[in-house]
Amino acid sequence: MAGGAKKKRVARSSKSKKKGGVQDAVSELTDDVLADILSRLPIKSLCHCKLVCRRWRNLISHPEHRKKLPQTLAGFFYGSYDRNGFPEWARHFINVSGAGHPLIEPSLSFLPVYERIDMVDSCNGLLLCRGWKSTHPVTMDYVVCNPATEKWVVVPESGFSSKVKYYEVRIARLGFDPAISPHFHVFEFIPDDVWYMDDEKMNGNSFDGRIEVVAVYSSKAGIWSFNEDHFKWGDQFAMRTDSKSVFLNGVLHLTSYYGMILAFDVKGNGLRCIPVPTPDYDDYGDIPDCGVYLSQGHLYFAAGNIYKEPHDSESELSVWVLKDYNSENWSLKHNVNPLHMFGEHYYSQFEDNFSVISIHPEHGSLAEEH
Amino acid sequence: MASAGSGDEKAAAAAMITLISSDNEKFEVTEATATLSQTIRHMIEDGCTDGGVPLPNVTSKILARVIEYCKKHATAAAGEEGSSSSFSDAAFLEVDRAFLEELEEFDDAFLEVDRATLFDLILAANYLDIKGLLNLTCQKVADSVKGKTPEQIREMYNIVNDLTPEEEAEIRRETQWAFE
Repeated sequence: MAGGAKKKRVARSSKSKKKGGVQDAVSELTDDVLADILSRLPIKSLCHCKLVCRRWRNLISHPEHRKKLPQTLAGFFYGSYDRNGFPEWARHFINVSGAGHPLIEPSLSFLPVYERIDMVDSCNGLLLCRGWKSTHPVTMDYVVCNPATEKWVVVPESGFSSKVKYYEVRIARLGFDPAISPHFHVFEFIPDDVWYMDDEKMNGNSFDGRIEVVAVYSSKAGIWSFNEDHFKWGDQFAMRTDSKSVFLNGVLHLTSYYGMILAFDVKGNGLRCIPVPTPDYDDYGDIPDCGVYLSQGHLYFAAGNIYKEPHDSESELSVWVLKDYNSENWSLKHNVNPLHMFGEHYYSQFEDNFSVISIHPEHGSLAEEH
Repeated sequence: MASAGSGDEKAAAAAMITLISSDNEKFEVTEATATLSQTIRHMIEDGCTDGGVPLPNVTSKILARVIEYCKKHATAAAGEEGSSSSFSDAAFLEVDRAFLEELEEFDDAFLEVDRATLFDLILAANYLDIKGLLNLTCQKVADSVKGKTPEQIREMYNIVNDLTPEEEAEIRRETQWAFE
């Protein structure tokens, strides 16, 4: 084997006879070495390198090297529904640039066959999906996949994920940060009624939907752990099923009701309750269009105006950033009037039908969904 | 530190390898120094280093620099082995830290070369498969590219822009945020 490697090396070396000078120095580097150099650059510099020449662009765009290079937001998945269409429901992928062929094939046809596949969460290029099996009663698998490399793995059953009542599903989130570890974590938030479902002693108890247990699957350990003690000081919490999450420095952040952002480590321990910058929530503890986002290494929070009236030109979307992570001092970054953002024509058509879906990870600009 | 495994070191010192540059200059190095190169390590394992190791695409000028790097880092590796088998008392850790700092200073000074030499070192490190040296030199090039505009990078490395204006426009459109 060593002999084979040697031969290859000698063959390559004879091709690149030295002529001296910087003239062709870069062109003599093999693709692997050049990719190694480029992989050390921050994403913004990498974008500039794409413009240097065709070889650099091809190298940076090549799927084989792309895996090693820093990545930024490529685009979004979105669903569409058309009663007269076939199929009625379809999944699409749109590039951030809004142009060109979708970088990702949206059907996820590389996944194993399921009755239906729902996308649950995404984190740094990995997707967490729910694959529904056609069993009676229905059961499901969590499947984590990388749609760019089309690799996937089925997460073992937690014991609770398939306990479905009224087709309500667990809140599940994905934690993955390739800069810290090649392994991922799946967080499953198990509410009281599900946790005590088989416990006869608890029959007749009134359940209020608060999260009883934080279950975390570690792809490194290959097992689920269940944390009943997630908040040692006894805080209770509940979350919207569509609560957005951010995985920052190995800590999962998501918004709960009553104006709190909760932070959990990968053991399911509640580390922090960060009060959101706007104290205004409705009678149910909910804030319209609120969510946490990640941009330029900082935690962002965006929320709509609770006092928003239909056709109100004052209606606003506010974006704050937590510059000092250890503090609770949010600074207001933007106040956006959607009317101005989209223009009157679009706004009159979509009015309330938009929500923030992301903040650009490097740039800080908003992406909205209509 | 040296007394810990002096017997082994003597044995290693006795095993000398001859490296032959492209311009036929011969360099005698210890096996410990030579085996920082995975390529040469495999050759030694295969027992095909008798009569010297010809390195047809490394000039004597570059090979001398590569050997300088390997000698320094081979001592460092030997020092690490020594420390693990000795008592790791505070005084010893202090020595270790001083040595690591010295190694860092050595690396910084080692990289003070012109661009042509830097690229020759990368080619040699890649060919000889010396991880540490490849790491060091690639990082140096990456640092020189960081924060530069495409024009500056092309000028720095004499790269001809063979992208069509349409292709350029497309790349700019895709990653517009990076150019603001």
